[in-house]
Amino acid sequence: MGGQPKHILLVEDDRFLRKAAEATLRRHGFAVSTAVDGEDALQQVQRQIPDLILLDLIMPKIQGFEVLRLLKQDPDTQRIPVIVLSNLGQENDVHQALECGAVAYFIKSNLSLQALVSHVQENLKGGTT
Amino acid sequence: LSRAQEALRESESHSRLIIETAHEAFVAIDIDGVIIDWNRQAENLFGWPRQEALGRRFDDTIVTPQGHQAQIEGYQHFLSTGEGMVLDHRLEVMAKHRQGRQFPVELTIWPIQLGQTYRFNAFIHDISERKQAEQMKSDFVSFVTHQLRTPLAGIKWLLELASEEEALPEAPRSYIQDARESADRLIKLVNDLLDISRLERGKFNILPEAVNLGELTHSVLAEVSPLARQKGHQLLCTRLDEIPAMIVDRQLMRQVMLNLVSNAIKYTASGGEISMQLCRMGATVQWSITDSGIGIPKAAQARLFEKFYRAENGLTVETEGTGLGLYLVRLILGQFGGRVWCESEEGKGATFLFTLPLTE
Repeated sequence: MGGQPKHILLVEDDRFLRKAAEATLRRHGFAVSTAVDGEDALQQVQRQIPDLILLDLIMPKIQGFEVLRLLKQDPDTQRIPVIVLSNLGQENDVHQALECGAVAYFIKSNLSLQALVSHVQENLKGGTT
Repeated sequence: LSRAQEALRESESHSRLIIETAHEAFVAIDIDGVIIDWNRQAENLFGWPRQEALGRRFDDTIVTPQGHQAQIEGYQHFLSTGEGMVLDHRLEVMAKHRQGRQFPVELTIWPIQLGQTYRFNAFIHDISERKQAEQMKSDFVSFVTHQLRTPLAGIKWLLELASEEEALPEAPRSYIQDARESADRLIKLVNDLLDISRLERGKFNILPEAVNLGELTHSVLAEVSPLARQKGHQLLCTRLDEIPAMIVDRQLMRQVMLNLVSNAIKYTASGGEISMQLCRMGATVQWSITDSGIGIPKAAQARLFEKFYRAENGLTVETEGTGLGLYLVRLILGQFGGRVWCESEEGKGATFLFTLPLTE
């Protein structure tokens, strides 16, 4: 990976998950910023547009589905690829997220960090930035 | 005459006693909706002493504002037709306590004709606890989904991170590896329980699509082959008929095959032979897997697909099983009109077979 490191915004309210995912992404050469809830996430996106967002669904203040909808409504942010990382695994949650414009949906407990990194890399290759 | 009166009085006081000692609230109203009887349990349930309740209107006393309209309509319907929606069967409604608190009750009402007029008798009991239990059961599923999976993902991810540390001595490295396996087992258990609970309640959104069972078999085989190699098993497909695509849920069918194949691997001693077949038999498709493992005693075969059941001889080989895998297999196949069973003799291997109707 040459040039500027890609910037990932990690939105996750659980501090252990945040810690693990952040450390892994940094190890793989990404620039990572973290948000602890939906409101925090939207404010950070206003300040700086990340190359990709990892988004939790059940969070304090503004829930993930709402964050996703707002991001996709705004012309400035609608092109940012969003990967949903949730522990809700009902088919309708998955459908709803994909319909709202998420590029992928994973259940955290079923996903390894290694797999997370490759999904991030894969979705950055699309090169929407 | 006085003896007859005496007997009548005795019978009345006996009935009174039954009503007063009933576990259910007993309320009687006249044709105008005025309370004419009210037992002790009604006093407890609704907070109105008998003396105050008698003569009050029933709807103002225990019917919730939301229930008024329905109550009036039901009542008028009865007066005009002689039939009641609530009569003669159990009905769940919200009731109102004197203090304004609302709570769910189950009631049965029946009319008693007295010459030209009627009275209505109702037995009522509080079902708050039952409602709470029902709610808890369904809440539990979402609780499991989110509240258990989040810390599990934390354990899984942090252990993965720890295992990548380079300067780790051998012993801690192996502890971390074991902990990772335990975490994965726990995650699989949570997933299975969740799937089962949703399949049992009919809450599983099945996504039917055209699936080629032959290809699916190959992809499952590829997925488990590292594990089979580890145990020195020979794992192969011995027959794969040409079968039209089946309309099933790909993920669920994958789970069925994966469960059956991993069982064969688990319950076969190292260096065994495991083979899979896919055959077309008239209007059904039959998939089977045969292993050279420990086999299943006759007595256990019938119960093998029950929830939590584990065969005795299985326990000695593999202590990690939960008794959920084959139950899940049966539940899933049931969704697509399929059937699963096993043929085996103890010590001589086992064959697990399932059939699905061809969907042409």
